[in-house]
This record gives sequence, structure tokens and C-alpha cells, in this order.
Amino acid sequence: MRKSFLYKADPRLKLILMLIYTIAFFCPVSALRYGLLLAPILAAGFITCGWKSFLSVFKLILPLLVLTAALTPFFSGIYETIRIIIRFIGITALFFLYFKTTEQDEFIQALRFFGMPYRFALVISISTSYIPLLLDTYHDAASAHKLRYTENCPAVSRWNFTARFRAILPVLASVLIQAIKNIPTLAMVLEIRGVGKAKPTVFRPIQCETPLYKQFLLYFLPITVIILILVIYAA
Amino acid sequence: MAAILSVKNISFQYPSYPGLESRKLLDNISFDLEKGSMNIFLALPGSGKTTLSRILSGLVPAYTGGQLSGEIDKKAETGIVFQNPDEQLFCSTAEKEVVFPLEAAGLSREEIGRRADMAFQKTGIEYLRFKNPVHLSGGEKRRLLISVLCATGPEIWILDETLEEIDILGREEILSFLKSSGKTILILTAKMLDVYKKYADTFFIYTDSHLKQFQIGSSQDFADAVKAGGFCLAEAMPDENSIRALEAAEFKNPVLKVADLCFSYPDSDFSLSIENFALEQGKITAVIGTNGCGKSTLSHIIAGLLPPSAGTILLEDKPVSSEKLNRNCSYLFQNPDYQLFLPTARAELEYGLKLQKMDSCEIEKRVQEAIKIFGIEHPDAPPVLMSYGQRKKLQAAIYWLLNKKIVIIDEADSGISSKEYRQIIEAFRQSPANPAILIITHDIQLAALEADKIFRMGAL
Repeated sequence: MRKSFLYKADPRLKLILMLIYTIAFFCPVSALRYGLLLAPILAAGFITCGWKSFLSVFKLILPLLVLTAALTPFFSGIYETIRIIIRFIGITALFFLYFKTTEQDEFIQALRFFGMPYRFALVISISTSYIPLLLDTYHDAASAHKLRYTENCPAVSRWNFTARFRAILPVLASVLIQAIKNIPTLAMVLEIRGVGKAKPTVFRPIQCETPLYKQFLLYFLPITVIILILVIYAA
Repeated sequence: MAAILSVKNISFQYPSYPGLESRKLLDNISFDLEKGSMNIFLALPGSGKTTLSRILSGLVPAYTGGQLSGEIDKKAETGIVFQNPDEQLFCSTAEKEVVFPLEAAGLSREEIGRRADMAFQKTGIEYLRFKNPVHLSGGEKRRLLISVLCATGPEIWILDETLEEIDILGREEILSFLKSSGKTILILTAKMLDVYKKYADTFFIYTDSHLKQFQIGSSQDFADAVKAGGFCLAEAMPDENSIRALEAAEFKNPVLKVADLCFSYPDSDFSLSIENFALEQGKITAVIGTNGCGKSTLSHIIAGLLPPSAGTILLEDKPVSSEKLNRNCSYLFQNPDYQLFLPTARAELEYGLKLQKMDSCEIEKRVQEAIKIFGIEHPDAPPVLMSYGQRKKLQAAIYWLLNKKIVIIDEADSGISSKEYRQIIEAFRQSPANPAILIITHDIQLAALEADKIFRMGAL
């Protein structure tokens, strides 16, 4: 499958752009401008992953969105609710796309490029790489828990949200146990892989087909300017 | 020849926890490993193999606590492959796993590239180089971890139950490579594989707190000790004719029928295609095949955990939803921890019966029966603190209590002895539900001994 432009983009520029975008989503601008900020991210997501796969990302934050949509209007009004929902969707999409299209090693190198010490960069990188790993563990645990029901167990309606929520708790407990168990094991693994014994080197330094300055001019600068116009002009 | 690793009078005991009184795992054991030798350490699950491997690697008691006594004289660096490969893999590609320790050691790019190429070539997994380790099969993950050792090049390699989930050809290839590597190899295992005899220089058998050493050739004593220790299923490999007969066997009244099944993962070149497959109640089907050929994928589809891209699945001659398959299938995962979440083993056993709204007296009676049949040693201990083998038995006991129509046992034999594994199969066979049993295994002896039908996937 042909990979989208996001895979080819420099991870350092993508990282800064992600941070600028995240800050923009917290600036006091109208819902329409939030929508304009969100549109290119969604377009990039659909191009990169396909609509089905990209939409499935938002299934994970669906309970949060539903709760926000149900409760926030009573306190802050519908307009503010829309802004909060766009903010959640935008930030989720941004982080998902960054880590989907950036290798763990490139992320470490990007952090080190901006002066972060190797150990900190490694810790952040491993933490972020554990998010998809935990997601895989969640799916495996959910599968295992589904199989604990038999034909004798009462059927649970799709619309019985209380029962469905209660069914998630054992899965989350299993995932949490796995995650906690992984902590000392990961420490062992890092020790036997020799972390901290010497000054580390890089086998595959960041290499992009398009030179950094061209990427800067082609997409980084224009997008940043548009974000600034949308945010500052409004302010 | 001089010993590169010398162990003298080692004893070890983990700290005790509420409900789980620790016992001495290793009791005053001594042995030497000669430089460049291949050594097989046979011991039953729960006897301290993993602990020994981690003591020799300097990880225990540093990370676990516990009391260690005795002396270890190591004249070279050690490298280790864990029993559960998932615990050891954390990078986003196979190449990164291999390269990571080389980068951490500060080697030059040229040297890292040379070593990585050599490691992938020697272990025969160049084709996995840019794949995410999460998506590899159990056997492929173990090969990858051997590649890491190959690239980093410590003098002593410690492999904890590494060859069990690798297919027969793969075992031969890896042992041949290990033998030619010139490194000192210590393989800790609970199963005496026939192929070890061809390559090993020394065997250690650890039973009842006694360690015996055997050199190649001292055959009768060794064979007797292996048999007495319960390290092998049968004395001889099954002949090809009996395997063919089991492959040709057909079920007359299948409970589950699969036809024209197709499946592929998105963003992957893997695809599965099965023309016909069936399971019959009261009968055992063994699925055998090379690592990564789709054995686990097939069983996930049968259990309703993956939707097929095409094809039909009939349960008792009726099309079924994935939920119906979930409710009729038990699945003993390679990793038993995915479904354990309650504070005690007893609570885990009771949970499935409580979901069925069963009477509490009946629950207590049945749970006691399961504890006895599956030999759950500490029913009131937290499962998370139990040994890997005990957690596997607990998983089997949980499903045994559910009385489902189909039981899938997915390479569940690591961490438990052959004898215990056969006891688990027998317990399901004798279960009142009379289930259809599907075993996924690389052990052709086990398949021939237990199965009523063998289903072969890929080459073997």
C-alpha cells in the first residue's frame, strides 16, 4: 500500500506542528475557526488511514464525547459544548496521526534533536509506544473475557449501558494488572539491553526524500501561518 | 576444558506474600558449563528454571527480592531469552529490537549494520526485519530474541523454554546455528525434545531437589531419568503412516463446520484460506503447522474473536453469530493472564459460574472439584503471584467449569509439564459437556498420541 505524505514528512517538523496545533485548540476562538483548524487534520487522517480505520480511533473517545455532549450544555451552553468536542477530536486525531506515521526511533531522535537527554527521550518514547501496546492488550483481554460467558448467562442488550459498562471493568482490571507487571520486567529488559552503559549511537538517522528546508517552506510555514491567522486575527 | 560459568551450592527463596507462602525453589545446586558447550537443563515447571536463568543473568534477586545463597563464578557476559517473549519486546520493528542494544553500546553505524545483517541471516528471519514484533507469532518472536543475542554476542546464552513454540524445522535450524556459533548455550526446558540429543553436549536433570549430569552416550541411565522425571511423552516419534492416517480421518457428525474460509489482516500480506474444517463432540483435532501459518488465526475465527472475510461457519448445522461462538467456545490462550483480574484464584473460578446465576452451594462444590482436578496449589492466593504454570492450570480450570461445546487449547503446553498438559486434555475429555477439543501444537508426538484427527497447515 502506498504511504501518505505524513509518513514522509520530517518527524521534527511534525512534532513542532503538532504542538502548535495543540496550543491553537486551546486558544479562545470561535467554533467555526476550530472547525477550520480541524478540517485539514481530518482530511490528512482519511488520506493516511482510510475513513473506516480513521473513524475507529474516535470509538475510543466516544464515551467521553457522549458524556460531554450530554452534560456540558447544562453548564456552559451548546456553543461551548461544540468547541470542547471539536477540541477533543482534533487533539486525539493529531496525536494519533503523529504516532501512526512516526517510528519510535524517529520520535526519540526528534526529541534528542531539541536537546532532550537520551534517557528522557527513551522514557517518553517507550511510554508512548506502550499506548498502542496497551490497546492491543485491551483487545486481547476483552476477547478473553467475552469467552467467560456461556449460553446459560443472561443476554445483555446493546442498549443496556450499565451492564456494558460493568462488563468493561474486569477487562480494564486485567489490562492494569498486565501494565503494572510490565514495569519491573521492562526495567530488567532495558538493563540486559545495555541502556546507560555507553553513549548511544543512531543506526538509522532521520532521512527524508525532501530536504528539511523544502519541507519547512512547503507545508510547515504555510500551515503555521494559517493557524496563526485563525487564532491571532480572531483574538 | 575450563568452566566459563561455575555455580556452587546455590539456593534461592522468593519473599512470601499473604496466601502464598514461598518455598525454597533451588536447593543447593552446583554445576559447571564448559566454554563453547551446549547444555540442556531439564526441570519440571515450577521447579525454578526461570528463576535460575534470571539469577545467572543477574536479574534475580536484584529486581524481585528474595534470599540467594551460594557462589556464581561468571567469566563472561550472559544474554537471555525470556520464557514469555512478549515481556522482552518493546520496539516498533524487529530491526529496532536487534539494533537497540548495539546503539546503546555506542557502536558505529557500519558495525551495527553488519551485525544486524548477520543476525537476521543466521536466524533466518530477514523477512521479518521491518515487521512490528507485536504481530509476530510466538515462534517468530523467539527467533527474533535469538537474533538479538546473535547481534550483541555475549559468550553465554541462556534460553528459557525457547524452542517449545518453534516448529520442528525451525528447532533443527536454530539448534544447528546455536551449535555452530561457538557460544556457551544453556537451554532450560521441561520437555526432552528428540532433536536435543543430536546437538547437546551435556544434559542436566533437576528433579526432587537433586541435580544429575549426563554426557552424550550415557544413554540408558539418561533415558531412564528422562522417563522417570516425566520429561517426554513417548519413547519414539510416531511413524509417518500413522500421521497420514490421522490426517485422512473424517468426522461423521461434526458439531462445527467451516467451509471456504478466507481471512486477511489489514495492512498485512498474511492471508488464510481453509476449504473445509470440522470439529466433532468428544473428539480431539490437532492443528499442526509452521510458525506464522495461521493456526491461531483459524482458532480465533472459530471462537468468534475474528470475523472471517468470507466463508461459512456452522454450529450444529446452523449459521452462528460471533457472540454465539464466544458463548460456545473455551479458548486457552498462550498467555493466561488476559482474563485474570480477581484477587484470588478461587474468585476467578467462581466468577464464570456466578455469571450463570448458579446456586452458591453448587458453585462451591464445583469449584472444589476443579481445584482438585487441576491441582491448583494455592486457591486463596492472588493469581498474579502464582507461577506461570499454575496460572495456565487456573485458566484451564476456569474453562472446565464453564462446560462449553468447543475447547481450543492454543500451544498451552509451555510452562506446564507434558504429563500435566495431558491431564488437562483428559479433564476436558472427561467433562460432562463432552466437548470437541482443538489442540494447536508443534508437538507431533502429542498430536499422534491424543488426536482423533490431525489437520496440517502449511509445511511441517
